[in-house]
Amino acid sequence: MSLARTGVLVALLLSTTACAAQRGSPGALPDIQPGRRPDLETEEAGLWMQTDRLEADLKTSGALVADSALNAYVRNIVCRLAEAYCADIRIYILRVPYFNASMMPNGVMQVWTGLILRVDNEAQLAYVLGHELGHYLRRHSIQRWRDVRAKSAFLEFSGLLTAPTGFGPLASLGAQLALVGSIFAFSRDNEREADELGFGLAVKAGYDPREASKVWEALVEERDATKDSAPFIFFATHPAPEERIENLKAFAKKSALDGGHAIIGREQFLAQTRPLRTMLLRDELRRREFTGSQVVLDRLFEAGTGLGELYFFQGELYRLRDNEGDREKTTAAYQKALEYGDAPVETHRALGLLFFKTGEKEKARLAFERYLQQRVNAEDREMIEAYLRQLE
Amino acid sequence: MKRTTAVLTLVMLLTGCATPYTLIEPGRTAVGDLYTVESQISWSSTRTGKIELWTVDGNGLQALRFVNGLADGETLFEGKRKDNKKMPTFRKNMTISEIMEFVVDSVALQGLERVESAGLRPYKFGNTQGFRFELSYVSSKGLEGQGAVVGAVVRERLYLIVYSGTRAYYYPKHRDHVERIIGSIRMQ
Ligand SMILES: [Zn+2]
Repeated sequence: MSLARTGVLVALLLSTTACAAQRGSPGALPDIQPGRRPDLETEEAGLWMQTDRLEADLKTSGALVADSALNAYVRNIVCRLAEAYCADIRIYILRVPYFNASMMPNGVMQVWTGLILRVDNEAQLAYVLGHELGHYLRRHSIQRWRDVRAKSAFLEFSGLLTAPTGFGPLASLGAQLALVGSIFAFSRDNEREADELGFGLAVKAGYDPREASKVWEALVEERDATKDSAPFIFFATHPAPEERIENLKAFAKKSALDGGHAIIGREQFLAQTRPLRTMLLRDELRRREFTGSQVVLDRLFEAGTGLGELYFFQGELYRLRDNEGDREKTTAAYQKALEYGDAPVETHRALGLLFFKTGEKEKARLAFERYLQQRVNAEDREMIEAYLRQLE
Repeated sequence: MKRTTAVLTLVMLLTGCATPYTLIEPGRTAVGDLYTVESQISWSSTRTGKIELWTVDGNGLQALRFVNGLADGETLFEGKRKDNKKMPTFRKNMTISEIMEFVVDSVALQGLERVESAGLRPYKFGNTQGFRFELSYVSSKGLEGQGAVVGAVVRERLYLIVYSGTRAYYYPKHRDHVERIIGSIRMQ
């Protein structure tokens, strides 16, 4: 098993696991202190050492998103939430098309790009990150670490090697996630605690409390649309989202923060994440989880930014799904995309390929020619020119 | 076309699997049922399903994969996911651009990061008109990799030759040998 991938996995386990002990109950720990490492002779120090090693793998991971503006942006949000703990937290944004954020006990925070694609604004992102900070501050992973080691659950991961002719060292991410989810589940008490603490941090930082429950509502909608719950690592390890939504709504009602003056941060969020969206949508469709991706697309349509790009990806979804009647829908979506100024140049190529397949030669020729005109340095020019020769 | 069974300890160590490897000696060798190729050097070969893999230094470092005749509805790699509908699937009516997308998406789902393709163009596959494109990717450990894909659809089945390896050393190390192998395809 690849070390880096193991790192991500184990990190994920540690961070999304929970202790059965409630704050104040036997076995509960006092909050972590800023700038402090656990004493060397403690079990907690051992856990930190393990997670330090995993962090070394994370640092060189091929999945790391290098974009410095985005990293600085997320760091800024985390620091507004974490205040005195800011210096203790290292953020790793990973290009993985699933909803997830997590924290390791040593202060490593992972944010997956699938989460970024699924939030509307800065406030929603802040409430999710606040929740993870809640687990970190309350040291929820320590007790879980004891449980996991006691059960030797890690051994179950040894079955993940692929056939030797496979490309990667591991089974598909989906399979890994399903396995992780099957082994671990969060305790309700820890969840409630992380929710409450995280909510408090985000309200204190000035984020609109009404945004807190919206991410989870969207995620529930996506889960319900997708019959197979395997990709929902977050639900596998975070049970009872419905209860969380109710709690967060109740918190918001009680909150003293005036919604009218609170931060939603839609523009700031778009300015930082919009440039990455094309890549994230492409990654999203690679999952071939079309019902879930449709929910994600619908929300983006509702938010209404970059419609040309969205209609193009709507067409891509129909084309890849290839159900009865999808060909007509694909054509319509691409054509709709071209009504907007921000349709990707690839829309012309996509239309050309569609008409090429259906034998609509003149339409295909026009679309291919437009693609080549607008993308003078098209890296597949030779291929497109070959299609054009076949159309003659 | 002689094949001697030899187990490569190095490859075993790298993959952690006791897969039997066969020695491919220099000369002309049949790949699947469709064609033969000629190699200047020796390779170690193993097979899973429709993929035959050749390597010199170990398949984690460089690999020459022959994908022998995917049929309509088949996936490039066997998914561990129970539902193959969620794996990219080959369709016999795909355009060459879609075949490239199918390969890239399949590879990306195998645990590699930043998988990108470039330079799709028509290319001779034996006496058949095929296609070619280049690949780049980063391993989960952050090591840069490079690849070349040559393929063709023959009688509605997809045949691919995929050469890949670490960008800094193992890909260039046997690139010339691989180019000659690709150039030597002779239909049976
Ligand atoms: Zn949680």
